[in-house]
Amino acid sequence: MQFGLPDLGFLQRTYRVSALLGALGMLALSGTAQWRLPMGWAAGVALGLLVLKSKELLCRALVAGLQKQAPAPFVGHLAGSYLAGGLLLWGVVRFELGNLLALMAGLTMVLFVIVAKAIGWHQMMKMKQAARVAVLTSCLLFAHTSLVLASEGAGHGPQNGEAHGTAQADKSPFAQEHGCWLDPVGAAIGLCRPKEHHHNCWAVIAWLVALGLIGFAMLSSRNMKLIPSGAQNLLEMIVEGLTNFSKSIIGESKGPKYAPLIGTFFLYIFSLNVIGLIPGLVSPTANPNVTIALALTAFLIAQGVAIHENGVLGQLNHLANEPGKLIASFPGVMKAFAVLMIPLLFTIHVVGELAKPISLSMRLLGNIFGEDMVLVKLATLGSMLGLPSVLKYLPFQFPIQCLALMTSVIQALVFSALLAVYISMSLPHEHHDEHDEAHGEAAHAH
Amino acid sequence: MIYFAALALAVGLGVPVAVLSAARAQGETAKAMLEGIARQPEASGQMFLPYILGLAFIESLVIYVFVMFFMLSGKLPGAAEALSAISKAAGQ
Repeated sequence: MQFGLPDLGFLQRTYRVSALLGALGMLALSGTAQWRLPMGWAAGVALGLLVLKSKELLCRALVAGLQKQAPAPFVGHLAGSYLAGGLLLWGVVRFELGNLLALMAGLTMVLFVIVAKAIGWHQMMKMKQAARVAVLTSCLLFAHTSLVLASEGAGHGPQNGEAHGTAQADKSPFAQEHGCWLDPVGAAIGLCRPKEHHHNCWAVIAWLVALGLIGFAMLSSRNMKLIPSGAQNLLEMIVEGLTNFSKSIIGESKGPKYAPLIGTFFLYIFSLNVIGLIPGLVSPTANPNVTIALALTAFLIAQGVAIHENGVLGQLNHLANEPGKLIASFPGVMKAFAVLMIPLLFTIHVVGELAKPISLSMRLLGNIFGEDMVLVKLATLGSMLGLPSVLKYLPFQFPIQCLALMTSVIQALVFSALLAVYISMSLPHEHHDEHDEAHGEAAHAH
Repeated sequence: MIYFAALALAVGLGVPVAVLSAARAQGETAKAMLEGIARQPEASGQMFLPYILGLAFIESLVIYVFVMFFMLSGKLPGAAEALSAISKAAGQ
């Protein structure tokens, strides 16, 4: 007889997602320079995971009982997890090892993930590609904001001494001296302190842009029709274009799989670049914190994909330039030299991998920052002509603004194309087949 | 003094030197692209992305120099400070 037993498979994913979110949260909180916050958060997450473990043990015992099977031995594990949880809580409270609010937040996060995984996962799998772009954008936003906050906190934590932090901000060539319209918003949520020339409105702009993208994707994919109209038209155009873009680099078979990721990067960076062309706003990508966070995210994703596709050993083999083939290609005694070359090749490859995020971030930063500086200089220059009010800054600024629109697109394209290239380099061999096919077609055409 | 003079020279000349070589390289790239299109116009779609990527790689070298330019130009003294330093050096 069937009891409609619950499927406990989602618990494994809950562990993984909670651990990931916990790590990201620790990263974000470590930016506050108060060590009790990340400690409390980590304790809360650990406590949540222990609670989840004990509940899972109970559930499994219950399910086994309902199926009239002997349950796996669980009493010891259960007692152990309760004991560990109690000890953890007692230790944190007794020795003030962590902030209790952060602990509660961590615990709540885990519980939230459990609920979300239990209810929402199947709904999520049914989503259309556009909605997945939205979800990926929000994930990207979370990771990116945490990294931004962490990098920001490293320089100007509230406890690091205000004078020191401000002096650094003033000295940095990239410190934005001019505020923008969104400074009050930033001040309200404690991100920027306009009186100390500490403008962080770029973080607010980045959030708003991401929220706008998520909102657009969700709204326009809500009532999908066979014959599209309005926003759905635009969205389908974007999604199709980005899928083709990803196919053209990664290949026909694996391209659509990575299209949401690459498309998300493209749309996000493009919007961040373009938003700076609106007078009174700044491009968040003209700030090193943002570009470095984006490049690090892209780098970690590329490495993760490589490890996912090739396995840890395969990736190490790739980093060592495939020593097996290399040794085989050397004759006789010379093989010893090939073995000697492996550490050298490994070092070169690792340095090359590490150069990727640096070059990605610096390219984007330099282009957008330079573009903004040119706009500012030309606006100042144009204002010397003394035209009437609205036209005052426009004469030299306007043509360059059109050019800046083009560089914005191209830089977003370059960033996402490079991410796609990095991903495609880790995929096995599909490229050769495609090339052969292309050659074959060309030969046929002639 | 000599330090600032060298710094000013480096700030002023660094970007042009980088731009010279990169402009040459980008010109070669564009030339090859145009020749390719002229030879085989139907392949222009396939050529576009590698072309843009090539330009981006060349351009990024200039961008590194550009970033260094902004970092170094922040270290240059203002006009008043430079004048006072010169007068001090002349006085000694």
